[in-house]
Amino acid sequence: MMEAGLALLADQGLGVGAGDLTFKRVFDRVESATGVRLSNASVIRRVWENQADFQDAVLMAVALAGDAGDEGGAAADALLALLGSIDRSTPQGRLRGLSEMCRVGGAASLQALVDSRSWSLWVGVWVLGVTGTPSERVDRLRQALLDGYEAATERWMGLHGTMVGALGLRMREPFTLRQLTVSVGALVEGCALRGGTEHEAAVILRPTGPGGAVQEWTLFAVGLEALAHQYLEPDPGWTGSADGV
Amino acid sequence: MADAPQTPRTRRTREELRALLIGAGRSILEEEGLSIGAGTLTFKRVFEHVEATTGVRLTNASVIRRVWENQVDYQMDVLVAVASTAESAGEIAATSRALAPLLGQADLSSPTGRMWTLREMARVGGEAGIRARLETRDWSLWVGVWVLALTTDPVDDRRHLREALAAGLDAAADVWEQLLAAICAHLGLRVRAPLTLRHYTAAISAMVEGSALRQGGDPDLALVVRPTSRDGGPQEWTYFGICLEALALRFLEIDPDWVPEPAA
Repeated sequence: MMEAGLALLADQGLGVGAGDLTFKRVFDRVESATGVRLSNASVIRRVWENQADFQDAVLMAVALAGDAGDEGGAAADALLALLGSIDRSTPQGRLRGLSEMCRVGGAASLQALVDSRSWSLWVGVWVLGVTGTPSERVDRLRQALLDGYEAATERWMGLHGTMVGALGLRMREPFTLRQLTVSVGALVEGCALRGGTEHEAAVILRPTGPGGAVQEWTLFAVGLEALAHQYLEPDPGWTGSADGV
Repeated sequence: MADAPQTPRTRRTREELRALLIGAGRSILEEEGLSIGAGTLTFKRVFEHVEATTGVRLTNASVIRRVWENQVDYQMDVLVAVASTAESAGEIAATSRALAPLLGQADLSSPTGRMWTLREMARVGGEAGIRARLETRDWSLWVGVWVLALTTDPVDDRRHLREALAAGLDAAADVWEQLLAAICAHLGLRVRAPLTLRHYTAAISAMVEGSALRQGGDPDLALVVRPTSRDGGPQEWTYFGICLEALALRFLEIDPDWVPEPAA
């Protein structure tokens, strides 16, 4: 029986969806939150053909929001606060600054992602898109996922590009900023998926502070530092231009 | 229960209704999670599958209160089985097969040769590992179960599911750790203190999982050509292999006290 169940799941995938999201429950939610009373007549054949159509529309909205969750803002705030304290007068200082940004920004962005309900929802919809039996509905969902993913990747590339420029760094040949952003996104999501387990959650103490002082690192931040140093190098032509960051 | 705020009755446009209800639906999903599960896995369908594949005929009487209390109990048992297999043995085997020839031909005579082999293992092993991961549906099932555990309150059955996931991850990490320990010993490498081999294993696993999520959907993850062959010639790298190389260089270093084993 277990083998048969696993075989059926492997063949047809998990049932993932918004099946519990009935019109009745959503109408109740709208009324308690806004006072607006709605009925089936308000929406059926006016906005959606039926309840399943509505559920698909909600899943599409989750898909289009992309995978960034709310961690972009948290990471940007943490990094901007740090930038003023970094010695950018030498290549060594800028590389040390890069490591510190990984340590601080990495901790902030991973925590924001783990805490984000919208991210875990997005992963669920992604699973549906990737594993769902091909159909017009799944194809539309896949396209929405790709659109949302693309928009989120663009936003992250903007943040990463700003930080790279502010630290007087550049991409190592032949790498691109998009490859860095995709790599960082993959690592943070992999860490978030595994976030509840002991080794990923543990704090690592490393002598990376001023004068070899011990600092707290998350495993994600150590990996982030590895990726940053893989993809980036000091820009020898950098003149410390006032970029406003 | 407090009275809901009253608003005048107005006929809302189609777009307004749409925005209102999508927002409310999304809020409910954020609070309660997606309905992910094995709900479609009914006894009837499983009995039919068993009969078609083995000839054995079963009925509800064969299993209810004998093996499981009810159908929901059975479905949770199947999900726990998925959760317990965090990573497929196929992926470990595929990676090991890809790495074995490299280890056999490794130039162990100098730190440069050993580090080159480490990078080459990231390139070759990375490609084999991610392909094996993407080719198995076990993994996407596992991610689905993980999301189920992640997005719902950890009560009763769901707590059981989380425990199974954690145990599955630990078991897989043990196997990967043994493989990495063997590679380090063969190449004369050690983990940079205060990092540990378990940290390295966990970082690689996280990288695999996040990359597999993307590789399934990012059309722009083309191969990167880098001048990394032994004589500086071009080689193709997956972006995942590049990430593995980065992790290897951060977590590992040459062991200065290492002495190669004499050839047999």
